[in-house]
Amino acid sequence: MEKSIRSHIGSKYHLVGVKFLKDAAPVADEKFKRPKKPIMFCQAVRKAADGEAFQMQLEDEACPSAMVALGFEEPVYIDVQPRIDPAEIKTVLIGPYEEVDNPDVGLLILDPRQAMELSSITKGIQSQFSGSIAVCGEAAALPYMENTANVSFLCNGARVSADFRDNEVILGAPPQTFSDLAEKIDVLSKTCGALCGCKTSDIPPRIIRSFGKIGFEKSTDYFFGKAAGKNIRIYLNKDFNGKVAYMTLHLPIKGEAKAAEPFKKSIRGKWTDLSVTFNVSDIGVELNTGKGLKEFIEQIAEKVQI
Amino acid sequence: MTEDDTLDLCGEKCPDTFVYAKIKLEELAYAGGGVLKIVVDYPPAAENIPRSLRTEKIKYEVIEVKPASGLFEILVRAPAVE
Repeated sequence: MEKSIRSHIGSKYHLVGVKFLKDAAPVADEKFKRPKKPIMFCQAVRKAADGEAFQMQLEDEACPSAMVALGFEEPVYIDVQPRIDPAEIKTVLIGPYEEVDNPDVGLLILDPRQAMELSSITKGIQSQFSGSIAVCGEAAALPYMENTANVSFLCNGARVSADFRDNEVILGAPPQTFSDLAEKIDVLSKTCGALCGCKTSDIPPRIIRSFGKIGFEKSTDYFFGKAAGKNIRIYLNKDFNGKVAYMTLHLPIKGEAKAAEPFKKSIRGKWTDLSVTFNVSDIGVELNTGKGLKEFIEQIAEKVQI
Repeated sequence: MTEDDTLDLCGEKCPDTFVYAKIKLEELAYAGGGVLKIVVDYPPAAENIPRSLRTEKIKYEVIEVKPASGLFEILVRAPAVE
């Protein structure tokens, strides 16, 4: 999951997992070390984004805002928001997401472009920020309390003491948000949402020639031609290592059409769109030479009943 | 309780609010002690300054934190220190 998200936005930072525990006993796992001296929660998050892992209790926390926001203590003098309420938290685990067992919240350091790209996938992410109590409150406590994603523009403490750069913001969200993001990114990469760099101009010439030999022409991001009397668009999609790994066949049919699983069907006005994606390594086709390509496409096209 | 001095920190944010408050309180402590009124307009500072003073070696006493026309006034007694 983390790999999908990081690869998609080009992030050098780990997705950070945070878990809030109401148990006062230190966590036995050696990889979650107590800081040698008190540090700020946002400093721990920054280090976790680079691969370190921590467990923090009240006496390990150096920032008075975080003491309240993370639910270690109730506020005394004024109400502080956002915060974990009631304040029952005794231990907080912070580390790379995959290393934290069932994290409560994920945190991801982003630049504005990366935030935009993730937001376009989720159809919007809220941003409630005040310039204070940011990593601990707006990015960790608020998503934990309200089960919602939030982008924070950080606070003075995070930028001065925790080395957050001027062009960075932080996304905090419940685990479900990151699962959904990863799932949508994986679908996009397989169905050529044109977000994975799978334009036909990026495809090796020998593969383009293979399609040319069977009468398929090259468009911007798909090949088009006919098989079994039906118009077909073929998208080639790369995996995260840049290898052409998936082939999606899209048959736009005017009127009613049927095809069994694994075809996906959607209606677009008078049109029926049928599509199906294959892992190239599973279908016995050699794209570089074109061997088996025509037969495979015809076999698939014949499964569609008009 | 009347203050011996006032520190206006309007426009300042944490952690600078605490740094300036601490410097002023130490001056007061080494000058024989007294009561300092700290005025802030950054709400988290009204919670953070008293909270941070708990960990100082000099034993400050937070007398009162009160809202005042959109601002917050924090009254702190600094003991005499040699």
